[in-house]
Amino acid sequence: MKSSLSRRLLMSSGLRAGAACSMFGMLPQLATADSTNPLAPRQPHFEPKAKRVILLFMPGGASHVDGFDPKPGLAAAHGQDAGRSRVYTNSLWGHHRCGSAGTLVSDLFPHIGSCMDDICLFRSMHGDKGDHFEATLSMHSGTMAEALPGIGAWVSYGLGTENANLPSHVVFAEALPYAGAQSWDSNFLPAYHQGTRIVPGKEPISNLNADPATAAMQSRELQLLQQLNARHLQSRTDDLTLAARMYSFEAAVGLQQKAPEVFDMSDESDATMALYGIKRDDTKSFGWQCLAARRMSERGVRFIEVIDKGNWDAHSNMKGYSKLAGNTDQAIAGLLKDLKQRGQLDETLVVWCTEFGRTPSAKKTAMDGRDHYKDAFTCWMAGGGVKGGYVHGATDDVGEKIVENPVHIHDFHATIMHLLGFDHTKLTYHFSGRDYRLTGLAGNVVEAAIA
Amino acid sequence: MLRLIAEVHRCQSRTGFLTTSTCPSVINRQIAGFLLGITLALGAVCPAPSRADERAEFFESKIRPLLLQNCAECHTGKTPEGDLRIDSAAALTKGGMGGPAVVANNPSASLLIRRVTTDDEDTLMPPDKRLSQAQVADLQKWITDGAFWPAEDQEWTTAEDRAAHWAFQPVRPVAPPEASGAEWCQTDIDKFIAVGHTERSVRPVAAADRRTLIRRATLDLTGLPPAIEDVDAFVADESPDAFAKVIDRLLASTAYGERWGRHWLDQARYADTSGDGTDTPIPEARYYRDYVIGAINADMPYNQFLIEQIAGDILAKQNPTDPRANDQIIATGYIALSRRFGNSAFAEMNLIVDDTIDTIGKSVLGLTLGCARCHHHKFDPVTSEDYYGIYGYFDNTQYPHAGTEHQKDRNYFVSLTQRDNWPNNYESLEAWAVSDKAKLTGDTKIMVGGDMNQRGDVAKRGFLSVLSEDFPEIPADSSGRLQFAEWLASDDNPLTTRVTVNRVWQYHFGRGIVESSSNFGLQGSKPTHPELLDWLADDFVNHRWSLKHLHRQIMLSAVYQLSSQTDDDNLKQDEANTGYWRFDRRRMDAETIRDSLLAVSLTLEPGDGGRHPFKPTNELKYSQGRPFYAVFDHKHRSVYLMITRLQKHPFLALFDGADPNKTTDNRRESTVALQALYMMNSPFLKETAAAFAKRLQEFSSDPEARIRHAYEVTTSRQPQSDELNNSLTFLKDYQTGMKELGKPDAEAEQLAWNSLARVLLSSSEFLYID
Repeated sequence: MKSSLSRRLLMSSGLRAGAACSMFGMLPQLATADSTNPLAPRQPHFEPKAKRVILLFMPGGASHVDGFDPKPGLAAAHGQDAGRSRVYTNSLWGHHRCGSAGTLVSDLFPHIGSCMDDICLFRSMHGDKGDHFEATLSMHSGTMAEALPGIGAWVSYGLGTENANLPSHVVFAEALPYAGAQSWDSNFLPAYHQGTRIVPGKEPISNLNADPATAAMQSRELQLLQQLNARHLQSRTDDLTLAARMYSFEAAVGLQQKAPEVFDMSDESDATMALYGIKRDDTKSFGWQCLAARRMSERGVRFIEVIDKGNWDAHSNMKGYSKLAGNTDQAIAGLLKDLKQRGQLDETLVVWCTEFGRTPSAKKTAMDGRDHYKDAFTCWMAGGGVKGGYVHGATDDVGEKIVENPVHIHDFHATIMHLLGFDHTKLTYHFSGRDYRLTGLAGNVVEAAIA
Repeated sequence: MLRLIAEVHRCQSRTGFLTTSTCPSVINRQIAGFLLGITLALGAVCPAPSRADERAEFFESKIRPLLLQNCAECHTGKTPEGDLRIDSAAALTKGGMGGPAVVANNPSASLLIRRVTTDDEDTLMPPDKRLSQAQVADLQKWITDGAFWPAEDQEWTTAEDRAAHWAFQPVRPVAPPEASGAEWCQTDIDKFIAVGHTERSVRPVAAADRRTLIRRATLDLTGLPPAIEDVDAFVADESPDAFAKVIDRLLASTAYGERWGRHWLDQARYADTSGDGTDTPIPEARYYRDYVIGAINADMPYNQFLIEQIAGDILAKQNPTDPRANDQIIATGYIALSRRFGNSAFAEMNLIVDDTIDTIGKSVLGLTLGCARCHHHKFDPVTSEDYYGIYGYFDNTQYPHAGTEHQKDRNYFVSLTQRDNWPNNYESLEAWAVSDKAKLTGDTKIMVGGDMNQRGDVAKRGFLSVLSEDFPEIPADSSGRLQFAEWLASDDNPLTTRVTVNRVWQYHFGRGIVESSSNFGLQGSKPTHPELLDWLADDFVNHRWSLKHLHRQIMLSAVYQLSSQTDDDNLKQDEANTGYWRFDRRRMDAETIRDSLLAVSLTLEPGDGGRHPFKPTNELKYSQGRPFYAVFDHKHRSVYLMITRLQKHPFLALFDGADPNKTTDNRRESTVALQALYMMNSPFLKETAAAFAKRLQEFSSDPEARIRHAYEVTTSRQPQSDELNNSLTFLKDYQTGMKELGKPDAEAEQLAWNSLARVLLSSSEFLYID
């Protein structure tokens, strides 16, 4: 529906001239705020520390006590009664002090451990929901009670994009996480803020590739189409959606031309490939996705989410964590180091998060597993103005209770928005009689985590 | 777009939902409070943002509800008791006859605290009861912390003000006004519109030409473009009722119900899955879909249509041998389709019922009733008693269970009573429908703050107190849904009737007389033509709630038949066209795009396609890790596509289809590059274009004739000579290009026609409706 408001906004823009005059076949220029692109870059509320976000999501609920909140106390408590027919179980992995602050990190993550000076750990995370579906939605949208836009859509809504040829919000999802595509749905926000799903492989974006049989003549075909559309527009010059539609075909051509460049890594050095631990012929590993995320980020995509295809839901067989960590550890560390050596880490916020943590205890009947635990877990951020080498919050000796500075998911979101230059209470969207925001009625910025 | 003032009305807080303080006595149904505008803004003395947040949250969750429920009745409005108003910080600081009521940071100096704690029964406030210790403590803490008040709050309106809101007033018969531009008017509707033209200093543009008009009307009523013969017949028909005949023909086609049924399915958040953690399929959901299409095609009186959807099972129980009994049961799919959550049967049951109430509120009453789940509605006269009074009907209702991860067995489906003459392609005689619980539980206790475990007073099953103070007589063996449904769909319910006619107007014109078509409350838009709205509602009721009558009324008006051309003078006066000085151009919605592509390429298959190819229901075993998801493609109309909740159908999602999780008031119209890519590269467009090219090739061997035909089919008009020449040149270029690439002549020619076909099918003129 064309609301009167959007009509007025479009009216006041230079869209009419812009779309009608642009030469088809030329790539769209970076749109400015008064141009045709609804995703034109916008200023946040105040000077941002970070200009974009790469969010790494570990589905299933990654254990904190076997990762970034190792507990020497668990060795002592191992086998002791934890109540409700449960016993505490020690981690299968050792841990080391990492970084100049000597932060304890599990030996599962040696590469990420070596980046601790750039990482800010939030060891006192807690959420409201302990089931996958709800927790996945909570970590993305702040709630599960209704389908609401996720953080990626909110960031796109707030900032637009810096690259007219690429979407503002992309999601690498080789496998779908719990709750499917709802996490990156724009919901009531305008549809262009929805995450564009990228499935590593032959056609990473739907309908990106022209039919090889006719690709050579596609520009001639589009020339005729735009002729028809321009003729149709001639007697309807006041209708800016028609001009916007013409522009969308130019943007599509831009995407068609530019997206493959993002995924073509032949211009990356051997050293870079080695940093991520990937081979030349790789087109889909987690390392490949992290590298592709960096390439998107440096081209101006605002919010890039990489969803691990592994499932960290180890109700039994904690040993499986060796493989899960092995798939991601070097890739993530490679991303941090690569961004840093390129001078991009300062303005790129890297977020590592999961659904919830895992119990430090196990059922007596399944001693090799851990269950869902929403009351204490660890997430982290790096770059983008966050304080490196800092640990915020703490849990008790066994990682069961938060003993210091609890950080709710809403607070985590508020902090991300703050680093991007937003007062999270003021980035709102009016829908269905109410003003919505990412953080509901809650959310406090974790000031101590900001550099 | 980017709103810098943060009016935040979301219900969630970190604990789940805002809690309101428990009120020890039954709150007067009429007066209990409502607020206007909560603004979280930084306090004047620059506290840290987090601090202001906390104080705002405390104020909103504790103080505002307390003041509203205990003080607002007497201490708001123009003549407050004791000259004291309690609805702003300034008013409290200034105080009333007794002096300042609140001294920030100093509770002991604040008269407010003294008056709620005094032992003197004569001066105790509130007069009829004593606040709890917790409530007094909240007030003290609030004052100690500086008596935070949102900076940009507005004055509270009184219950009388809210009840006086236009939408709650009875619909009154209105005589069409005497319009100055009488010669323009064709029907009574036009007289109201003409007055609006004068008020806005605009002049209506010319009427649309016949080709444009029949294309508009056909797409509007059927969701399909007109056939060439129908266009030609209408253009040639010189009789005065030519257009009326077109409307009647369209209304009589089954395609009408497929189109307008889909509009209602938007409201009913229709899906073929339940939305729980596994998104379990409900193969039987389509019975309800077909019921809707059938009822719309049969022009079932809309009040009956509503009553059956809310209480059809009760009607069927009363008269199980009625041939309509099956349909009446199936109709309650509207309730049964409420969104499911989590991984066990009926997890978060209060949210399931909330979805029922939210859907009824928005789609039937045009009110955001869901706001009253945790607290009295902040803007509209809807109390928690109202909400839980309605909740009671559904608390006594047995919803069906389609299976989920931890409870895989299906349960509580409703057996159809008429076993003969039933569509034999239906999965079973068990419907996805609701029934009254075997063991009724009576009225529901209020869930304080929306929390199932914190129960307050009993809320008697009733209606909306602002519209009716009465309570229904509920038979002892019934949930009372029938009484509720009859009230909802009664002739004198001013909301239901206005919302319905406004909705129909919206789908015809793209925008309702009330633009916020699912929110007629105080925060909704005001009607641009309030008298016309009442005239339409009154006329609708007087014509047995007939939608087809309403379509005729609207479409035979001059205003519906206006051209979509612009006018610079009018633009200056009324840029948004609120006065309807022209017809607003629209893009086809998702279903219309797909159906039109199939139709013009002659690949649209008749009928509904029968069963979706789900696995047998005893094999429908899904988990959160492996939820159900499938796209079952076919070439029937899009209303018959299988709709999932957790992942949207890719085509419908791309072109702004309805949200299957929540009632959708109106479609959006986004324009994004991914849509363009779809037109350029998708297999569906490739196939459709090839089929359309085949149609053209079979039509004639003459390229010019083919192109003429192509334009007529896609745009309902003949091409101009430059368009014809352009197309011919294009075909030549394309063939030459293909031959240079080594394609044989025949293939090059075929590809050229396919390409031209795709251009026409992707063109704005095809996809937009003038």
